[in-house]
Amino acid sequence: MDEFDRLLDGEKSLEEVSDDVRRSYQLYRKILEMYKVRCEYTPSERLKEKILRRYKRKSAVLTGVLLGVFASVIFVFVLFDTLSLPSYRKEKLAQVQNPVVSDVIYFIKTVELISDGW
Amino acid sequence: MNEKLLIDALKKRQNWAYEVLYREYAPKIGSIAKSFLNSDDVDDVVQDVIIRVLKGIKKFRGDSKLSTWIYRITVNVCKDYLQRYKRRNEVFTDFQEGEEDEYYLQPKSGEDILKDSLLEITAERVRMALEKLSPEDRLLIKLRDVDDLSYEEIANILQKPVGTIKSRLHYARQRLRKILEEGEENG
Repeated sequence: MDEFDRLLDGEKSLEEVSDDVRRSYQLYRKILEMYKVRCEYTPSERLKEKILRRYKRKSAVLTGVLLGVFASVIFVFVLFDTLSLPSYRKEKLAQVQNPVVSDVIYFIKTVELISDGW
Repeated sequence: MNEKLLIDALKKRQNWAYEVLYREYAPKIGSIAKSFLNSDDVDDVVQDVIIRVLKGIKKFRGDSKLSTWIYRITVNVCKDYLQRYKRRNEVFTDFQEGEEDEYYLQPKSGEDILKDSLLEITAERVRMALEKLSPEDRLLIKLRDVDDLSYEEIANILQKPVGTIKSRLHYARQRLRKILEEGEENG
């Protein structure tokens, strides 16, 4: 860092530097003033609303996508369940019929046991 | 405005927090974008930065000041834009014609002989001088000499060591000085 930097950073005062540096400093400060004016930016109300709309729309899209994925999963699950219903019914039917057969077997076994006992 | 309160409200998506964020930070974001990009896309940059802030605020841990974090996002967004410009190889015009006349410097009474040379500094010369600087140089000068941010804060924003920032700023100032002095000699 040289004298010029120290002057700009407030580590030295104008009295402490050479004439050349002082002159450069004054020119530089003037440029900075103009630069500041050039960089000034006043945001509009329209932009404020636009950003808020865009942000809300993005959130809505994200929520929509998540809901869509969730709905798809539910749909696939229900669809799978529905398609697999006939076999399920078959099992149910078999379960209903099985007792009839087992009842007969049970009856025969009981008869056998009784006959064995006798 | 209490920063913590603002951050909490932003996390809860309260409308008043957005109002405050926009009012406090949009001018600063726009100003940095103007100095860095030298283009007309300032509104787009402001929009992108604020959207990123709103989306990322839940992850903001508060390791740095809110302003530092927002400035860092701004610089990153500006860098993205610069990359886009380079890809498109666009040539940007700076400020609109006709604005120059408004910025002619006026001498103040009691000033020394410097005023004669200062009078000759027009907005056009400033524009040309600044255009000769790289975006990074302009940004450093803007953050330190115009916005008066500390070296530590600038280092945090640009994620570079303080020593690097000091050194780069020194060279940026030297370059601007040289350009201005050359302009004076030629003009």
